[in-house]
Amino acid sequence: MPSSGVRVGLFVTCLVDLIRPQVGFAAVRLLEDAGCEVVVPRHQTCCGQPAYNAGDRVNASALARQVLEAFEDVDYIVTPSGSCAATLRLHAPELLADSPELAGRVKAFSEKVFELTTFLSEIIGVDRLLSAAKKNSERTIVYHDSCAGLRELGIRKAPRELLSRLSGVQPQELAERDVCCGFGGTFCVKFPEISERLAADKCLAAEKVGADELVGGDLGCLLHLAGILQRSGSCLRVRHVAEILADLDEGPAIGELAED
Amino acid sequence: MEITSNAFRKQAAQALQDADLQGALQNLKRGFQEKRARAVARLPEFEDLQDHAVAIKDHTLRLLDFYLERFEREVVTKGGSVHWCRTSDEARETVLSICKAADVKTVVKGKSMVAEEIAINDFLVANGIEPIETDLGEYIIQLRNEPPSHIIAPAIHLKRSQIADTFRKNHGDFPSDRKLEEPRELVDEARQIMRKRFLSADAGITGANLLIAETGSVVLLSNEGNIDLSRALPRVHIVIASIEKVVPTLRDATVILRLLSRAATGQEAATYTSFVSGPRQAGEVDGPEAFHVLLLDNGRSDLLKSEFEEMLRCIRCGACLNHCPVYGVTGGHAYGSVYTGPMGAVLTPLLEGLDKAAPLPNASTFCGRCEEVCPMKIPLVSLLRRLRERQWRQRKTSFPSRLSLVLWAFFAKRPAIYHSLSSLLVRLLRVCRKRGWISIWPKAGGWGARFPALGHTTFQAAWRGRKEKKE
Amino acid sequence: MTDTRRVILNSLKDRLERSANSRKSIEAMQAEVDDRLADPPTHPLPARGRCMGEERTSLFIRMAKEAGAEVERIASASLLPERLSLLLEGWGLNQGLLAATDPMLIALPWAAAGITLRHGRASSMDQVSIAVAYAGVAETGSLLLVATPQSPMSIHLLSDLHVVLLPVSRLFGTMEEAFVHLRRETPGLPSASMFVTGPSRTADIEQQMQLGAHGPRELRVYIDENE
Repeated sequence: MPSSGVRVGLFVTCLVDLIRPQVGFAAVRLLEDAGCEVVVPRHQTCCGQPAYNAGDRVNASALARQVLEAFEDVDYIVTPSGSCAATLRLHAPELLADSPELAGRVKAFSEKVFELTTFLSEIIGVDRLLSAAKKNSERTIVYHDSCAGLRELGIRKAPRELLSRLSGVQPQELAERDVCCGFGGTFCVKFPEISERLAADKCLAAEKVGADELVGGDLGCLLHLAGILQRSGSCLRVRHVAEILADLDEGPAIGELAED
Repeated sequence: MEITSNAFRKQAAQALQDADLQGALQNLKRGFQEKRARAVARLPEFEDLQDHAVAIKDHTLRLLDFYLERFEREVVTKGGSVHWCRTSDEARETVLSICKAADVKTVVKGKSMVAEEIAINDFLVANGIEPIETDLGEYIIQLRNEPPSHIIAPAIHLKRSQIADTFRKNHGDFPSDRKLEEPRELVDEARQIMRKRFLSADAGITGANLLIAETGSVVLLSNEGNIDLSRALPRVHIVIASIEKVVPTLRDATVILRLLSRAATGQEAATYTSFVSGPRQAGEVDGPEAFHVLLLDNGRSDLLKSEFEEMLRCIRCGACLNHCPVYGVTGGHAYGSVYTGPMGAVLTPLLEGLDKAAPLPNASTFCGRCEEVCPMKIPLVSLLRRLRERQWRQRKTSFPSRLSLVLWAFFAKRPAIYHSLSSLLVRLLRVCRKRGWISIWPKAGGWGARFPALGHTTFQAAWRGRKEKKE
Repeated sequence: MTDTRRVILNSLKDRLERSANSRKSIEAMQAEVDDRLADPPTHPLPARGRCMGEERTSLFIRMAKEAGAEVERIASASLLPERLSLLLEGWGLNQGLLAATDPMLIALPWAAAGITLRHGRASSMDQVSIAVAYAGVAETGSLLLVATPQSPMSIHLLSDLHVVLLPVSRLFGTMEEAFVHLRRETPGLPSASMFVTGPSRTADIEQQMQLGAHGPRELRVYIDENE
């Protein structure tokens, strides 16, 4: 696809960076296939969400600011995580409101932030995307929406549309799909009994669908669910939606052993 | 009620193991959630009404002193009395002195969260006055000596067999071999018992869903009719209302009522929606001779103009409880306080102090469903976060949490060190890769205890490597 | 107690920063409050409540039935005693009713139908009671019942079966309209105005709905099309 002249900064997210880099590479491939120039500013680590939700405004602001400053010279900031996108798009402005020296730049920054599937589907436009190799149509996927992506950014249609039109896979729906999986960041560490129960309910619902794979847009949820699935000996494989869309889904699923 | 919110985690864990409770909580979904969704879908003006309701509340709170004074004037003009109470103690003493002055021996009560808040029942009993809960759910838990587990359905945690047992133990006048299994039979028995109480009680104590300044009216909602029976038959009616319940006019009240009935139970209207304005008038043959309204502060005025003011918009519909994933598996008792679920997680620390309810603001995944269904558009997630901010500033966050977050932030703010350290760590942990899962914090749950299989390297390291290869 | 009143009001005024407000702005606030109370702003009324005539009556019937009430149209109230007599016989009940003393109700041909009326406060022995609704609300299928010397509240609450006569001319679209009419007649509002929507119910036992918790098990509405 000819270059669209769009310069995209990839906000990798700490979970992708540390635990599952292939999601990042999948995002890069998708964005480059869409004709974007992709840069990955090195001066990035975390969006500050853990600090923000723990009540540590000082560090949350500092990290939001760090992202703003690292991503100044791009047209868009795209990230393979609904919750990180929500933090940067919706909460950073409020966190940085007290920094007068950033005044003009905060609004411009936050408006550039997009979650990956939203960006591909709505900004680039599905029709303009190079269609990835269509998948084996017998492969079944059930989709999990993260709460932050769903409620803060309204992400529902975009990933499903991309999966069905790009990859030729019609994702199935979970029963009670609007109920939280119980991850909640530090919640799963502070209240593990409740967290595990919510994850177990979600995994039961996923099993009931009878699909091959559980797919979603937020690694936090997916790691949490993969843990419970593994423990219960489930055959359900967990992947990030970017991996499916970019055709980088042949390796181990989330939580599976990597070959040496 | 002595709150036990600090034991939330333990109480929640117990609740998760309680099979009867878990079965009962399933009813929440089929019942309240679906009904609310249907009722809201049927009223195209719902969202518009929400905006108006929020504007009404915000306006009222801004001028709360004026509206309370006007409400008082109207009540007094109609022959009622208004009593201002700062604290639970003062409220209890006021109720007692009203009862003593009117020679009250038995009291019938409508369901009231505020009455629970001030723990009026035990106090009356200690002073020789018998309070009888008339709402069926409240009556059942009164017999069982349990606190309510839900705002709208206080006995939602019980199965019919448990209720039947309770009735058999307490209703001595009925033949012991009677059939008491079906809900119908249980309701009929309660109906018979309660009739006598309504007709013989000296006083009725209710809460108030709303107070109307314009007409000095108290709005009372019920589906059973027990609240109207409690207030119309005895000779004294005592209303206990918190100060933020007031709205300016009748027209304002009806806006909020349209939201309340749908959000709470998915009804177009509560079966009995009463506007009570003063004691009985000349010529009337029933209705109370004396009408008393207690205006209770108990910490509400402190919330005005604070970052928690939005919580004063709450109309106690219970929708947030019904949709909360946490409440949905723990039930109300786990919260250890009168107010439970998301609204309780905000209100309890504010009224009782964060120290007495430290876990509550943290017992949330911030999924946001509560905010989505709140008819008064209360930003519950933001309020919970602000409570966490308070805990952080006061250094009340648990030490391990604080330490990990501070360390995390330290490195995250220094990307260069972060990247070299993290790629090193990931490569070192590659050794454990073959096991698939690594236990890092054996005591922590969730995936903290089972760290997922890591890749060969970090994204940043691989990206750099790829770029270097290209160059 | 006036002490506590002052303390609470002072703490409110403190929080609301009244001392920082000039006297003029406090007067302005009082005026704002007085104006709003004297001339309340209207809020959107649901479109559903705006129908008229036959559409309104049909809506009322539909909503009231949905809430569990029995609703019948009656060409004239004078037909009511006969209807009720048959009903009572069918249920094996006495031919007696606890009745409000509204003149239009008393004037109906009860004796001819063999029904004895009792008046006054309700007791636990009154199985069937009858009253005239002040108004009906089509939007929700509700009845507005007000406390008056002729119509004590207890007659709406204690019986097993409550019969209510609703003149069709008193059927309004919304609760707000009903209040407008009520306040024209009783500006200060009666001691109690109760909107009843269907019979008493509870779902407190395993979330299963049961009718007749404490109030009437059955609510039967007769719409008098003649009035």
